[in-house]
Amino acid sequence: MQFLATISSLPFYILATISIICALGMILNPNLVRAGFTLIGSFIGIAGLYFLLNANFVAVSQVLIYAVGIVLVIVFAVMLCSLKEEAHNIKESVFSSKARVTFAVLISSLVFAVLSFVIRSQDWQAIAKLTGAERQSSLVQLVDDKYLSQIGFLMLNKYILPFELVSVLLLIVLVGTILLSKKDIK
Amino acid sequence: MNSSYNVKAMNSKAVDLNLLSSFHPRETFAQRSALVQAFKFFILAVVWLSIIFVVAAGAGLTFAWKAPFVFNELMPTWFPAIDKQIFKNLADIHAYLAPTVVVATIIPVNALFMVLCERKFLSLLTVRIGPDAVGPNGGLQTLADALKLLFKEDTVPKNSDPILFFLAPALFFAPSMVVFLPLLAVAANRLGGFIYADLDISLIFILGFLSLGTMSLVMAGWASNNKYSLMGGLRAASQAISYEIPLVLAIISVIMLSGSVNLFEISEAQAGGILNWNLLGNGELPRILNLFASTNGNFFDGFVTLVYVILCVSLFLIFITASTAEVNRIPFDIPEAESELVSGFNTEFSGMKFALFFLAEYTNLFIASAIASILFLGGSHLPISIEAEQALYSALTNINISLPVIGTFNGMFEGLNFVWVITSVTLLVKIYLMFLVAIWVRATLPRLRQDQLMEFGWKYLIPLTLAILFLMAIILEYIKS
Amino acid sequence: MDWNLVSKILLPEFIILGAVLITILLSLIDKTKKYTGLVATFALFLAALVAAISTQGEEVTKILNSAFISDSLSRYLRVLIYGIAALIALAATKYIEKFESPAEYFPIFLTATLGAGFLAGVNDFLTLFIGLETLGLSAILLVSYSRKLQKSNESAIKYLLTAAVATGILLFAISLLYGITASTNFAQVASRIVQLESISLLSVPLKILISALLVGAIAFKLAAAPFHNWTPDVYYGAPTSSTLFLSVISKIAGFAVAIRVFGTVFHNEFLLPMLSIIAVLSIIVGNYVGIIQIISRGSVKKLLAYSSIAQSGYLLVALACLRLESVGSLLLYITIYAIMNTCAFACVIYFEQETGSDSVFDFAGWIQKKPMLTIIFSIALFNLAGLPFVPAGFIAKFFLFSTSFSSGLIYAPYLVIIALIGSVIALFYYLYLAKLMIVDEPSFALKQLETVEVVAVTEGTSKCGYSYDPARLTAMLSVGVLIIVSIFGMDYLQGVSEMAIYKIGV
Repeated sequence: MQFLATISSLPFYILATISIICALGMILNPNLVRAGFTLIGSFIGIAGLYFLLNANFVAVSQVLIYAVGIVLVIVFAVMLCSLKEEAHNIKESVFSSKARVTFAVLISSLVFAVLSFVIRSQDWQAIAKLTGAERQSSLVQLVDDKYLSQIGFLMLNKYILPFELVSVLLLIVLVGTILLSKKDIK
Repeated sequence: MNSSYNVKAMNSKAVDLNLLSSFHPRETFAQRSALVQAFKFFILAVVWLSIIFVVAAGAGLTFAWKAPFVFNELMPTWFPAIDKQIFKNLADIHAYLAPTVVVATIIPVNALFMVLCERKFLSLLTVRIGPDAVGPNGGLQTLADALKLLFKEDTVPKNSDPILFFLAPALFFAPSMVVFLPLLAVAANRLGGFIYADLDISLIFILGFLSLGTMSLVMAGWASNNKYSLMGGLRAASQAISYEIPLVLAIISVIMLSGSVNLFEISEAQAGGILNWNLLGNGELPRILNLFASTNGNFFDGFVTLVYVILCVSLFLIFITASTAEVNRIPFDIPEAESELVSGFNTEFSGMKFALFFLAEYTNLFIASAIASILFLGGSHLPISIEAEQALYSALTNINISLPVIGTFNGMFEGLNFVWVITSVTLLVKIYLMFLVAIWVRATLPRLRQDQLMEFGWKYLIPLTLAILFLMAIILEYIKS
Repeated sequence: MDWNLVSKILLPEFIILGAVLITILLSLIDKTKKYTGLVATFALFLAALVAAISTQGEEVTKILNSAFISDSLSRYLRVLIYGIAALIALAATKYIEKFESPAEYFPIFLTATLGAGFLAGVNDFLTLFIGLETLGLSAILLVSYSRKLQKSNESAIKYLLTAAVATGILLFAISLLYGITASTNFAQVASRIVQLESISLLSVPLKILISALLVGAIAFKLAAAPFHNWTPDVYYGAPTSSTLFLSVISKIAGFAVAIRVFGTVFHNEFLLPMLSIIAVLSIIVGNYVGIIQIISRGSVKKLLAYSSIAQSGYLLVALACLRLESVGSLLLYITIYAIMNTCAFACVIYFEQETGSDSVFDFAGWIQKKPMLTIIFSIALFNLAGLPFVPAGFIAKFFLFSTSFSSGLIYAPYLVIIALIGSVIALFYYLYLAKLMIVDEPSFALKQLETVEVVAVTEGTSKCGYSYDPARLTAMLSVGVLIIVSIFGMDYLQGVSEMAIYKIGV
């Protein structure tokens, strides 16, 4: 059984490592295009984690929307920009790069420490026991054959207001984006 | 007369010099009738398809049935000291791996024939001979090409981004391989180990991961340090983004029609003859006859059905168009347009890297054809009635084969189910028919210009698909009630 | 689901949604482009009217699976938001014409208002998040509207980045809350938290963290210190009508969310000190930098931005006391504040239309050019300062401080004293600006204006296409409302706002 447990937790560690390494690469890479591509890798790693959690639809959405849709467009835009021409316009920060890195590492490790301390301070098992019935009714139904139709049902019933509001939001963001990016009318 | 004699003399001289042509005397197309050429092509296709099938099925059988048998039945008797549970786990792992192994074997073999098939069929359409030197009727040409590519020097351009340059072909190939898996569940009729390959949302899964390939095209274009490559990569990205929308919208209509996003279920819904295919309105076609029934006032019903069937057919056409653009085929192959961009994003790639691009492109085309045949052409079902098909299936289940060759292996074929042979062969043939259509399109249509492509996608295709989606939702409510 | 009830309750929102679509269509046609502003104004006014006269909100009704709640508070706030938004839209109609493609301003404006309107009746964390995004993203578009100007782009980017961080913080708080309660619904979350508290299952650090994250995210929307850093730059760089929108509608929506979340859903002993600290910091920072701004003769828009930070501080004092009376007076004060701020900004918009400048220095001696508007502007400033010149502002501030003082919170008196000191300091810059306009000699920009006008008249062209300038009309209307309210309706308004808070539903 030990063998099986090791084997079955192996994908988690692989995927987690991929996403963490890619995320780090995204931050540490000075080349913007490479950073964009590593970001895609990170997103795909997270999508794999969703697959492990049986959330197939969320995983595919993650790939379709984040990895392919958003980051690809970002990389596309970065490629078309020439940083060399703009470089002299960028003001150097008051702090040295070493100070900045130290500060960033300090802040992020502080945030990590606080969050992990807080999350570990809570007895989640007890809460899970208490809210178990509700979770059963709301989640376990989802992980069967009619998984996707359940999502559709929830979106058009329980969460219809946010769902429809999102459509309004997307419409107006589309209008605004075209407005901001279209060519100047002479 | 004199001059013709001279030519003949020169020809005979050439024969002497050219060793290859002495083995295979070249013949012009006119010397053989088109019918004979087509027949030769057919024979070639049958031979190659059976090779593909046997290789893939052999790999699948080895991992899905033989390995578990060996681990569960034989190994414990050979090594009684070791815990049985470990063998059971190993058997499970092998069963899980079966679809992956099939994919890993079928993709290269399949691509070999796809390239050959394209060249041969294209030469048929353009009244040429095509490759005929290597192997019988040129049947081993692509194998030779592949070997040649293997031994070519792997060049890396100056000032390129070496990591991305190395990664791009592999990352282009990887999604095609992943996307192949759910198709096997349809082909193998959800049998044995292949049920693990069947995702509940396989259609969306395929769409999502297929579009990942675009990323590596951009990566390849960027890494090459070549403006033509970069242009090719950017064109690939813009094209993929533009044509994914009509593709997905067309697929949404089909999802509404079938009520599922699982390829297997979509295929199941179309069982029982050509009339049940989604292409012809999923069994509603006979209601068109109401148009001609003068009584009962059923004219409306007939008319709605007519509109519905027209919508179904146009969905199929839109799907083919958009997926042709998605996989960068002529007439939408502007990312690698030779006349403008040398060869686009793969200009700088050589040897195995180029081969991987090539492999992945043909695999993507294969997958697109597979989705088209599953969504619209009845999937893995024969065009016969459900009863006949069931009878065929029941004849093929529970077959007992006992091989006298090796006595200890006898037990492994007990109670086997051979339905998967019918389903996978049917699907394979349908996919290749769709592929022939793609080649036909390639032989017929010229390449589009970049702005024409964008205009066609955004101004015509997307509004059209949106309108069809809207109409389809309304009509389906009426038709299904 | 009772769609009849839904359509009855959400009728104002449907009107605005229809207006969004109509304005988008109108903006496509050249001939009808100029009517988008009027359509938006009319639709918002109609929505406010419908929300005001509808009988919904008399009792607590939850619709759409408790995603939206219709009670007295949501009704009051929706009337306020839509009414003020109608005034802002009116003020923007002419001002926005100097930008490229002015017609599309109003669909975006309406959507932002719609998001704020949904936040007024938010009863689910998912609605809260989407509503905030609708408001925030549309507001970013409004801020970046004059895309030719670098300062506008700069402020839009700043706003976008800080808003993204704030959204991330909010989402983290929501996910932790969901982890505890397995629900996004306010009522379920509240009851579950009470249940968990009763058996003391919630760990103290978790409670502190969730409170801090929620307070931080909402304080960003309220532009309260120390989450105020985006405010001056964004207010300064944005088109003035967008600045007005941010300083009024965004703030009302933020307080709506704050009242709902802190008042009914998530409430513990760590929350009130946090709110108090934020209130004190806002008062200090807002007033201190406001004075620096007036001394260094910076931008009036920046001045009003800092003043709005300070005003957020006063409002947060009442929120930090979190009693029914104090929150009722918060509603009263935010109403008066919205009207006063609209009036002040409408004057700035008018000034900007005339001179193209918004620096404090250029306002000098405005009374000699436009005496009427100068007086209106001064009234608005007096009211913002809390002077009883037209008593509405004074009364509202008095109620705010007195209810907070007597709220029973141990340190409430100290908070009120700090707020009082702050408003005394604030008097300086409000009055300095008023003095500058009334007493001083006309500035160079104003003197130049004369010649331009002469040239315009001699060339036979009119600068103004409207028979009556919309921004001026807005200023007149809002000051009219202010005067009428302070003479006749203060008691009534106070009653309404107190009733609004008494019937709040969970």
